[in-house]
Amino acid sequence: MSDRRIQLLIVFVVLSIALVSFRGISTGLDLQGGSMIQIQTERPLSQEEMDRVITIMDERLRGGLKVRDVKLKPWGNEFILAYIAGVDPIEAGKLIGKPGKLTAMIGNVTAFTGDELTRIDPFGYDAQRGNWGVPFTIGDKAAERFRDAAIETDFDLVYMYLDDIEVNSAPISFSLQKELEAGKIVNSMVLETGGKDEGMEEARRIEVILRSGALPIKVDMVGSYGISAVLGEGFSKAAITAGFLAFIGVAVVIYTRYRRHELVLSVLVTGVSEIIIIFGVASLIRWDIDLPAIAGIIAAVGTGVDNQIVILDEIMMEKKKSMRYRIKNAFFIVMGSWMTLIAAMVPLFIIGFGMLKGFAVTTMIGATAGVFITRPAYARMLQFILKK
Amino acid sequence: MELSSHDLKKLMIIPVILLVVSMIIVTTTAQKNAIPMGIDLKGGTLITIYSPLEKEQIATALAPKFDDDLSIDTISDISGVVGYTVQLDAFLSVEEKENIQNSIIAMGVAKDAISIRDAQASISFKTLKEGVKAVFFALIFMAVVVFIRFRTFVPSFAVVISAFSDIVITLAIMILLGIPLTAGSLVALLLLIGYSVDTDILLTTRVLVRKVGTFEKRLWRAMKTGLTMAATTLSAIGILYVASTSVVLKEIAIVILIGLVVDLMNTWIQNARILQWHLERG
Repeated sequence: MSDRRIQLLIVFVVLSIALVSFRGISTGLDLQGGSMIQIQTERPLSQEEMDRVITIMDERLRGGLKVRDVKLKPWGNEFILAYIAGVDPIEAGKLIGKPGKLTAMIGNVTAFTGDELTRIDPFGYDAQRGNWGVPFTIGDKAAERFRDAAIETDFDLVYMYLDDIEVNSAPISFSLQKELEAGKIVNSMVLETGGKDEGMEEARRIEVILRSGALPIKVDMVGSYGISAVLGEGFSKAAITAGFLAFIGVAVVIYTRYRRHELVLSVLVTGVSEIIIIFGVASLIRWDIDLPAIAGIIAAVGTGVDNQIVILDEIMMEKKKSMRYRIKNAFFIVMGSWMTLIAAMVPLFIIGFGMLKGFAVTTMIGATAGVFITRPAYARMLQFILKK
Repeated sequence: MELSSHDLKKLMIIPVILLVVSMIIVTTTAQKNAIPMGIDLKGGTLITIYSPLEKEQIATALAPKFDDDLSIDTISDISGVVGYTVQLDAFLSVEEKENIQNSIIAMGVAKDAISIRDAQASISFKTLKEGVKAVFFALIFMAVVVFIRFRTFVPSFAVVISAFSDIVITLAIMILLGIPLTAGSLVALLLLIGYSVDTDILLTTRVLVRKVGTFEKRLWRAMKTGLTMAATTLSAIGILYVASTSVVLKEIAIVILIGLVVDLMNTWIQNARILQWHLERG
């Protein structure tokens, strides 16, 4: 066990186990339960518009569905993929279908609604007051109602609701109180969110919420996929069982051909190490393990076993040649196989192809770990085994 | 061996005929727009129900809602039938979906055991386009790698043709068996390219780069390794197909199974005999 290649393998396996146990592995929605929703915008968007639509939708989905685990990704320039944990697509679909309803209340009196906002300015910093804030303007009627409600409630807090869920509350400033008491109609106000970074973050969020009443571009739900937590768990269990049985199948074939326990064991050890390293890397780069990713792991380990058979046969068949020569020959084939597998997976990775990117990612991680870490170590193990 | 090496060369006619027939099947079916496709590539709704109901029960409950325009299939694992898929061509509104979900729940199925997947034509067309693009570029990249690796025209060309043929014949078999093309099966085709090239590189390296022993002897040794590889992969993927309950994993597994068998022929008959011809030509 003093060989460098075997040491390298052990180091990677131990590191991966440490990573997985401390950082954990996040699973995709098809294993944990949730919805994947495909949204189409009414026309292709510029980068800026796309960012804006995504921020607004993100805020609405989080607020409206009361969940935190929402991920939105653009796909091309007119599609958006939304991943929402723990919610079924029917619930999510109902929310996406309708525009957000924004209401501002003072105490329990309605002051104005989202469609009465006539103008929302980008959030900014007021150096004099040391506060971040979002300036906005409301129509005359709304301003009148705002004034009356403020006086009626004796300047209670102003609460903002998005789809009936409270998103913010703020007191009315003294200067504004004075103006309203004097009977003035104030159309333009600033919703202040405090200083520092938290203030800035909150101001950014508030601006999105104010604008979310009217998404700048019409969106449509054009596809969805929902898996419940129960089904997801079932898939994980079935996949683990299948993986385990597949290993037994491979072991039986290898034993039938070579009739040596140590050879079977070395193939299994190498395969299992590859799986551990794939999980380690997935944990490191925080890649979600979903069903396509599991298929990718199976593919990587499958081609891994194939490569091991090539190495084994090269070493066993060409007995007259030096060990060095035989291993070099084997790795000519192994490297070729690695390069073509990567070549076949790169287009899938770049194009993204909906929800199947995970397949390309785990296959590439597994194949690369195989070529540079596990297979060199495997070749070394074989030398020890076959010398006996 | 009774057959001479020369006679064996004639075996090549089999994969060539199969490739030509398959190309005809694939192109004519594609022209008629009749390639069976999953809803993720052609649009529609797929309802998966994980429950040991009777097929009849589902049919009587759901068929009238869609003028019988639906197809019901079973999902099984080692233990037997674990559920059903119901496929509709229609893309439903959120309300219609909720309605269907409720009528399935009314049959005594837990809400958690129902999974609905749907896609409108616009997004499924994009998925199909990207999938075909991915397969196309994968073939090109693979060809470039193979040519760089071997640096001689005939062997490289043989590898590329073999991968291409694997995909086309597999597609033709899928069409004949009515196995739908889905995003999952497109990914399986990509994997097939990788797998196909693996065995071809093994073959080419063994018979071309190393020149010890007769051609048939070198071929036989390479084949022994290749068949062991195929046996392990077939058993692993076969088990995955039988044991998994996820439709996505099954879609990927069945295509790889078909492709692997096709690849056996393309590698050990077609590619091998092309190399033989190449060597004899000098």
